[in-house]
Amino acid sequence: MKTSYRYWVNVMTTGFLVLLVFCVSLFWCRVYSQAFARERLGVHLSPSGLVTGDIEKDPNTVVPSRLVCERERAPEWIFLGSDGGFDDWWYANFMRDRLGPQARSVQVSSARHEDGWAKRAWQPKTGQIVETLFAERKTKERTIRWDQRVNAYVGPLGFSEQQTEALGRFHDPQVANDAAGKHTLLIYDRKERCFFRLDFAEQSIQQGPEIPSAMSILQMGDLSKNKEFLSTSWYAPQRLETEQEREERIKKRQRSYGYGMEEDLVTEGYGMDSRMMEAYGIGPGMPGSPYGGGSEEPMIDPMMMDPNGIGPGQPGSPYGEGPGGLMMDPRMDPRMVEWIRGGGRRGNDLERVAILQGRLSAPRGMIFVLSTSGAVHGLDEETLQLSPALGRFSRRMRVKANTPKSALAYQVKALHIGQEYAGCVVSTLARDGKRLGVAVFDKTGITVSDSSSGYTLRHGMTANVITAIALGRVADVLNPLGLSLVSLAYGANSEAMLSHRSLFISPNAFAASDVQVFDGATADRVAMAVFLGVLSLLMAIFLAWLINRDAARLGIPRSTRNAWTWTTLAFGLVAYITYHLTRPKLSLVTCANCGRLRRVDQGQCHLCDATWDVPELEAPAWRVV
Amino acid sequence: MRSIVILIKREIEDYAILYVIAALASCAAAVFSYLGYGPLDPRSSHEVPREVLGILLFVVPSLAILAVLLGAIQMAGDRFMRISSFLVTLRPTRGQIFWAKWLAGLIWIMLGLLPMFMVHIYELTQRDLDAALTGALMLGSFLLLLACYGLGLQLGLMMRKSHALVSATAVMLGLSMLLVIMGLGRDSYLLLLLVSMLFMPRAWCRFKSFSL
Repeated sequence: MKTSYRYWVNVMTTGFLVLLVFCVSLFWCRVYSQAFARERLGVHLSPSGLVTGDIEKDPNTVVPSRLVCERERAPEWIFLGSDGGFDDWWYANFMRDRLGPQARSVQVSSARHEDGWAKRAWQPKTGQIVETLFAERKTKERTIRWDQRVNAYVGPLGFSEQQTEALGRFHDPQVANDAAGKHTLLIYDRKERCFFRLDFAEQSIQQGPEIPSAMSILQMGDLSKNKEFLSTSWYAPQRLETEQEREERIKKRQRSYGYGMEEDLVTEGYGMDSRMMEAYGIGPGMPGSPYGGGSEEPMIDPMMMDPNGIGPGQPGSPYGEGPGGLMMDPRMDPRMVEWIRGGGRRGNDLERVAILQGRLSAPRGMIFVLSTSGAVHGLDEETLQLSPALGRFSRRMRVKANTPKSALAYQVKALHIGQEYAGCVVSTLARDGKRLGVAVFDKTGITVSDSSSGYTLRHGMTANVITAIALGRVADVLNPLGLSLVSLAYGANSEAMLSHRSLFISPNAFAASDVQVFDGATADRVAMAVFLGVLSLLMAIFLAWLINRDAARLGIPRSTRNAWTWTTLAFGLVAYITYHLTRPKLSLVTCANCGRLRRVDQGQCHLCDATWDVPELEAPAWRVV
Repeated sequence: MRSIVILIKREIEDYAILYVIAALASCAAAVFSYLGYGPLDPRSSHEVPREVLGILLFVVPSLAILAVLLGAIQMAGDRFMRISSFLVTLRPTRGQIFWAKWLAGLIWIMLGLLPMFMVHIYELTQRDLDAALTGALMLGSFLLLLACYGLGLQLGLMMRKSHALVSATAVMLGLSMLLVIMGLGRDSYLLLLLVSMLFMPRAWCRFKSFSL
C-alpha cells in the first residue's frame, strides 16, 4: 500500500474526528452563552387596534385593549432541559425530521364513535384514507379488548366499504391539524391543488376549486410552529365596575365563600400582580408597585409601554410625565386616584370589568391556511373557497425571517369579539430567537399594526452576562473560517429550527446571524461581526504559518505544505491539531553541510540537497596475527 | 469464502461472552418493548410509547459501549495473542482475517439489535404507528453501533493505552453528542455513516502494515 494513501486516510479520519469533537465543544459554548445572556423579549400593543368604534376613547375605559406577545423561552433551552421532563424534550427535539409544520403522520384523525373510536389514516400505498372503527369489548377477565374493523375506504371520488382503485387516490395530502374529535376532515391534495371536505358521518365528499398556481399550501388549521416558544394574549378594554356591580359581586362572593371583599383587600399593595397593579393605576415607582416602589429610577413595566416604546413617566407617555413617575391615567376614576394617593391603604375595592367579550382562538366557520410565502388565508368550511390574504408574517422582521421556513416559531390566532370575526394576529420569532414581530390585521386583512422588538440583556451587564457573551465571542473566533463562510452563504436558507440543531454550519452564530441580514443589525453589531471575522482570519494565517514552518523543517514536500496551508486557512485550529496528530514521526540529525536539521530517511538533505558525508572505509593497515 | 466463514466462526467462539451478552440484552429489551407497547388501544398515540423509547435509550448506548469494547479486544487480543501471526502462516491472507473480524462485528451488531427491531416491526404491522419514526430509531441505532465498532477497531490498534483511552472518550462523546444535537435525520445518518466508512480504511491501513 502506498505511504501517501495511508497518510491521507489517516489525516482525513483524524481531521474529521477532531472537527467533530471541536464543533461539539463550540456548539455547547454557544448554547450556554446565548441561553444565559438573554432576558425577556416581548411586544406589547395598547390599544391593540382590533377594537372598532369609540370604546378605546371612552373616558370610562380605564384600561385600553392590549395585545401581549412574549417569547416564553430561549431556543437554546431546548438543549438545557424543559418543563416537561426529559422524555418530552426527547420527543420534541430528538426526532429532528418530525419538526416543523410539514411533519405529517399517516394517522390523520381520530374521533369518538357510537361504539368506541374511529381512526382515520392515510395509506401511502393506495393513496386512500381508511377509517377503522374500534369497538370496546369487556372480557371475562374484566379487561378491555378492542374489536377493530375497517368501516370505509375514502378516495377523491367517494366512500366505499371495499378497497377499490375506482375511488382514486389522494396525493401527498395535507390535513388540517385541528381535525381531532371531528367527523369531517379537510384535506388539501398537493397534486390536484384543491381542497376536499370529507364527511364521515354522511359519507360524502366535496371538492373545492383549484387554488392559484402561484400559491403553495404549507399548513392548515392551527397555524403554529414551536408554539411553546411564544405566548400571545389579547385583553379586552376595561372599565371600573359600578357600585351596583360591586354590591352584586360582594353578595355573590359572600354566598360562595362566606365573606366579602373587604376582608380580602390587599392593603399594602403587596401580593398584587402586575395586571392588578395596572388596573388600579399603580405605576412603577409608586408605593405598592412590584416594579420598584419609590425607587429613583423606576423600572419600566413593559405592560405599560405604549406601541412607540415610551414608558410611564417618560415625556410623551399617556400615563403621565415627570421623574418619580406619577403614572396615573388621566381618564381614571377619581375614587381610584384617591385610593392610590393614599398608598393603597384607603379607598375601596373596585375591580375592572371587561367592556367586550373576546378572545384569541381558532377562527369560526373557516380554517386558516398558511402558504409558504407567509400569507394567511381563510378557507370556508362549507364552500371550500379560499379568501384573499387575511394576514401575513410581520414585515418588520429581518428580511430572511418573514416566511414560515425562516421563522423559529410562529402563531396565527383569530380574534372574535362576541361572535364576530374581528381580525387576526400573526406573531413571529426570528430564526435566531433574538427578535419578535407581531402583525395585527383587521377582518378584511388590512394591516392595523406591525411591530417588532429585540431582546434585552438580563439584569444589565453583570459578570455572568459578560462571561457568557465573552464565551460566545471566543467560540465565534475559534469557529473554522470556512464553516463560518458557508454559514454566512447558506445559513439563511436553512430551516430555522434545524439551524439550531446544526453542528458544523451555524447560521445563528454571532458573525453569521448578524451579517447576513443587515437591515436588522445595528452598525456596531455588524462591526463586531466583521472584527471577529478578521480575528478568525488572522488566527488562521498565524496557524498556517506555524504549520508551514514546521513542515518545511521536516522536509514535507511543497505540494503537501500548500495543501496544509489552505486547509488551515479554512479550518483553523482544527487543521492545526490534526496536523500535529498526524505529522510524520521523524528523527532529525544535523546536516554536515548546512548545519540545520535534516531527515535521516532521505538520501539528500531537504534543505541544501547535500548528500550524506559517508567517510570512505579503508582497510586498516594493521593485522591481527 | 470457506476460509472467511471459518474465521468468522473462530471470532465468534473467541469472544462468545460478548455475543451472549448482546443476545441476552436484546432479547430482554425485546420482551420489555413488547410489554411496553401494551394491548391494542385506539386511544393511544400513533407514536412509539415513551416506555419503549426509554428502553431504547438505555440499551442502545450500552450496546454502543460494548461495540467499542468488541472492536478493541478483537484487534488488541489478536495482537497480544499473536493469532494473526499464526494464521498468515496458513492459507488466510491479512485481508481475509480483517474482513472476517469486520463481518463478525457486523453479526454482533445485528444480534444486538435484531430481536428489538423485530418487535418494533411486528407492532408496526399491528398498530397505526408512525413508520418513519420506527425506521429512524432503527437506522440511527444501527449506524451508531457501526461507528462505535469502527472506533473500537481503531483503539485496538493503538500502541499506547493512554492515547487509546483519551481518544475513546473524546470520540464517544462526539458521536453521542452528534445524535443529541442533530437528532435523528438524514444528515446525522450521513455523518455516522461517514465516520464508520472513514474508520474502515484507516483500520485496514493499520492492520495491513502492522507487524504481526
